Amino acid sequence: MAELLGTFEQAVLLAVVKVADDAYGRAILRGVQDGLDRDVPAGAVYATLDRLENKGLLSSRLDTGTLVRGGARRYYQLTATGVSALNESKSVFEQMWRGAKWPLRWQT
Amino acid sequence: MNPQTPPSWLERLLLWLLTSRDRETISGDLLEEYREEQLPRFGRARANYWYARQLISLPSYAFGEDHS
Repeated sequence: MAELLGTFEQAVLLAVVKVADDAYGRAILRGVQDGLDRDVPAGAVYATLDRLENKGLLSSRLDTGTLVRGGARRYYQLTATGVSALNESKSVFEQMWRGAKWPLRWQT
Repeated sequence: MNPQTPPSWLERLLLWLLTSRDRETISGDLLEEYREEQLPRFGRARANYWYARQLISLPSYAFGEDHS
């Protein structure tokens, strides 16, 4: 069974998927904020990117910088393990909710 | 003082916090966001505040798992 991911890890991986070829730090940060619809600190995203790469769910490469920023960008992409883990996590969450009517309502 | 950059002391602190692996990439990401989004959209004071908040969020990354 592939690794079960936390919510924020899924948000980061999905941002990498959605941003696709432009998946470098700043774009991923904005993608996570759009996906979660809230402000997210950069440190949390970079820490998660690093952790996911160490787990083998992401790979990264350095690319050239631009005139605006000067320095290089680090681009990320999902590995096969990352794709598997993301698919498994979605499947598990859907299975957990099966039988429960959404949205839940509090009853006395 | 370059109006297109955050306060130099914040930049120096950021570079100190980051490892050699990330110094160029993360500082470049934050500078790009500062110049292209935060500064034109919100003005210098709020852009500087945004930059400082990102910097404060980094120690959890810089002093967390070994990522050298």
